[in-house]
Amino acid sequence: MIATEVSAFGEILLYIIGSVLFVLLTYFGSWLFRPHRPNEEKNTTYESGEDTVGTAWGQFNMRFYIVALLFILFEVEIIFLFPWATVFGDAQLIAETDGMWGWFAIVEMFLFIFILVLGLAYAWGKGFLNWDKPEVIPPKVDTKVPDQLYDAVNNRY
Amino acid sequence: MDISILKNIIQSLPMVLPEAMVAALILLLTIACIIPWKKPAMVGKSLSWIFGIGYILLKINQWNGQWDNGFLGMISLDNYRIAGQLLLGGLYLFSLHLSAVEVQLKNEERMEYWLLKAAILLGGSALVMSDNLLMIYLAVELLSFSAYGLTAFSFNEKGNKAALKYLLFGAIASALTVYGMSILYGLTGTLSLTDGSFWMNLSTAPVSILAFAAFLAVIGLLFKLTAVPLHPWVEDVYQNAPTPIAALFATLPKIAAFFCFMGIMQLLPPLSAEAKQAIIVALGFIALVSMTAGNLLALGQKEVKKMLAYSSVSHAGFLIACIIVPAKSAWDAGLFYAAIYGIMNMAAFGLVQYFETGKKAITYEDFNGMGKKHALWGIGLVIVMISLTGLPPTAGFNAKLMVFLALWEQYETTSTTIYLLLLVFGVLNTVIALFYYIRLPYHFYFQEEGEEDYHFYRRREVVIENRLQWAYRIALFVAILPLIVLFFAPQIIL
Amino acid sequence: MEITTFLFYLPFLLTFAVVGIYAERKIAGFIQDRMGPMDTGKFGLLQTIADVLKLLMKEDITPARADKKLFPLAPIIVFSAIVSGFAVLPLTSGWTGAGAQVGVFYLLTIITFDVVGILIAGWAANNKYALFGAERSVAQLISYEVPMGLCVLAVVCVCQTLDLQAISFQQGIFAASAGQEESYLFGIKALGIEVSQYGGFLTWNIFRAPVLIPVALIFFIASLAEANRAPFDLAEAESELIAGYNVEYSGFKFAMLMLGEYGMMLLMSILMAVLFFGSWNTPLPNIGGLPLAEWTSGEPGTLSGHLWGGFWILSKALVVIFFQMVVRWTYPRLRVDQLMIFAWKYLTPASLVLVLLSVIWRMLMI
Repeated sequence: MIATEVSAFGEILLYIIGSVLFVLLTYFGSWLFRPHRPNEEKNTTYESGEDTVGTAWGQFNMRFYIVALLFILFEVEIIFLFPWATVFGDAQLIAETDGMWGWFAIVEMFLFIFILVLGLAYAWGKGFLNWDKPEVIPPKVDTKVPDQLYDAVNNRY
Repeated sequence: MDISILKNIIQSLPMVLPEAMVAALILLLTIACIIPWKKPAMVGKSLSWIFGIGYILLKINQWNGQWDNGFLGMISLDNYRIAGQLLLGGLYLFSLHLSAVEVQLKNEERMEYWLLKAAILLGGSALVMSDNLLMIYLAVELLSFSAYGLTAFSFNEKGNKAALKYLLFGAIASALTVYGMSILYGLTGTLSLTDGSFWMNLSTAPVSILAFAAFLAVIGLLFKLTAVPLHPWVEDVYQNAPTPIAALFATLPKIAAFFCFMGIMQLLPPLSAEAKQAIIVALGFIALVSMTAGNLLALGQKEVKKMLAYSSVSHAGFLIACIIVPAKSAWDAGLFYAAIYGIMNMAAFGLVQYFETGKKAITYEDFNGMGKKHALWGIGLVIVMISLTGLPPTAGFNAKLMVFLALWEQYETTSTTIYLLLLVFGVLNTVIALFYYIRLPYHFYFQEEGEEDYHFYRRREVVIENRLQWAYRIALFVAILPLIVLFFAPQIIL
Repeated sequence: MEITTFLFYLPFLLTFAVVGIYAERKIAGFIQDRMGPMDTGKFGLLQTIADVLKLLMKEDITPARADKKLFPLAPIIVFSAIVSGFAVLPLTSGWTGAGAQVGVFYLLTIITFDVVGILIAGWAANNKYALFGAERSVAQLISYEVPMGLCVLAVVCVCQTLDLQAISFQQGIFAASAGQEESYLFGIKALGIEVSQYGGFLTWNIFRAPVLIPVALIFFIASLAEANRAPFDLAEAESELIAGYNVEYSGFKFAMLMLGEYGMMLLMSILMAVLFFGSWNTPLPNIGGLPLAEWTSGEPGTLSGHLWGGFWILSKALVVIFFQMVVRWTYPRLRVDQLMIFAWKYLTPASLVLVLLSVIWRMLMI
């Protein structure tokens, strides 16, 4: 048993090292047991049986960057909110300032959140939150079934 | 936790009331962005005007107020800074007017255009009153980010390229700035410039590190001032941004950075004599190189906006020359120079814009022979160009004269060579400047228009609405008049 | 001087994965009216163990075109990022784990690292399915990170601390002895009914501040998305992307990615128990002369305290996991645009509003 005194972040480090070591250990363990007989067919890239064309390393869809930008916007907001969240309701400070502390802090942060919500509203209003959807082309089929029956089904779901 | 901190913050709130006004404008415009208006230009323009005037009125209201440091030393306010902010407000309004006249680009249909402009005003205003490295950095960033966006508002390939160039350049400048500031923080343990320990600790810091850090830390400001090592972006940006935007870039951020610099220099005294001397020499050198290089580069340009871009680099040199003179006279000279610089650059860009949108005149040659048809405009052009050069009877002359006088006085009292050098080079540069400024009126009046070209231009000529024509004339008159009036009565500003 | 909780959580995670996969199959079978695994061992009890042995014996294939360095790195990052998240979770009243002041904040940051691992996994495989799966997965994870962070924030606003152990103490009868504020009924001090002496479910966060009930719901939804579980398992949609970012992984590398996923489930469930459902505190209150709460929770630091605490927190977590599994086999998968719209247009604004409400609730609590 480890009985040394470690600080809080020492223990976190212990966790990180421990888990990495555990993964390496399992790699090693399975390396002991498993067979190793690679051949060319086995090592090809899996694409549902087709031969792969080109490489997968290409450009990402622009949409992902917009999501990432929004994410950063909000994560930064949350980072700023966390320290504030632990102090605005401090009972002692509120008592010392006759409640001014709490309400002032809340008004300040509400303003901050409001500005960020405005950012979200902007992205929303400009349609950046909508994902690309392919145009739906209803297939033309020569049947006796009237079209509105199809429409009724399609519109329901 | 001390309650007095909370009290201080609450008491400082009135200091930023005008800025809060601009911030409210930005928020309103953001909301307006997502509402489908019938006439978006009208909404954006009128909101901007109302709040812009409100900003100026509130600033006037602050005049002569008893302002201490606010927000725990983050900002401070005095009459000098308020004067600077009033100047910024005026420039903002003028640029709003130029935008309204800009009929070609339809930019004003986009609410973001007005939004980013307001953000520039907010950034500039905050920069003028910052007293803290962090605050300075934030204000510079606010200025820069809105500027990157606005540069791309000509919506063509060149504009995008210029914006990207600007962005990359600005990003590096800002990274270096924040790096320098972090070193300064490491040396002193505080970011507040008003904190005595900041300068005390700097005095005892190793000189080499200090010089390195200080240089990096002011890069952000020099970038906004377009002083020489940080000038290469001006050409593309001024040329390819919409002209009202270029006019705004050429004036507002520069003047804001100038006032911020003035504020910092005011706080220098606790520093040791050698350190002060080193700073003055370094900045003086930058000023020297800026005015010379800017002038020489402007001399080689074929296009008028590019010429104005480099000439603004040269003017930045003069502004820095005012910064390094620690005397009352230099203060006045600086304020006067900044004001005149702002007015005449706005007027110059306004004229260029008129000929650009109306007559598609971009290069010097495009102006050939226009004097016959546009004599009245020509007079304005001559006045502005003379003023930019710094010759009588325009206020540009007074401005330069005051700078030179301040430099001379300072040289006489301290006999530091840098002041004399600046003086000599300043005069020499004024002579050089004459060549490229006067070239424009020369083409305007004395060059014959080519026959082929004539039809070419006629075909492209765009008729500006009558109503706008008048608005334009009045605006330019308003801009050009002070250049003359202030020559005879410079005491109006001082 | 404490023994690190790592020695408990890692073996527990492994056991949980084995039992959890078995339970998942059985629950799926039950919901879909079939038997689930039956052949290996009595009632198929040994099925998952056999699976683990199979994975151990399986050949480990690295595709010829994959990035040879990043390919084995990805499972390490995914797994260790998630396991490291356990560091700050308290286990019992006397067994705190890393007592970092930043607690839950650290937890949120470290599990974000999982995203990097997934992206590396998708990229390194140089497979189109894998890359698309990784892209979608990353977009999904970061989108749901936002409402989740806001939900945690709402709890922090009410509790005024980031330390998960302090949050745990606030929700039980030991609040006063740990120097935490006492709780009032529904958190409204004006009512004047102090409930810390009663303990039990009355002091849980969702009862201390009932505004946290919808917060808990949003947190639950976001945690499903964070663990890449149905109905948010687009990244591994079998019919479209085969298996998403882990399509090229085989053998124990695959097992590690899988384990990471189950680790995330467990982590989220325990975190949910800590934040909303009273952590290691008993659900039974003291009723007059019948001190049920004291009977079912030992003094902090004693053996009975450890046993009761561990029992309560883990059983709460397992109940949450049970619901996660039921949801998986009940709801159909979302479409990718619905997924993003749900996160940004519904969950995020809703959780922002809830944060504001819990801020105001906090002002009622003092």
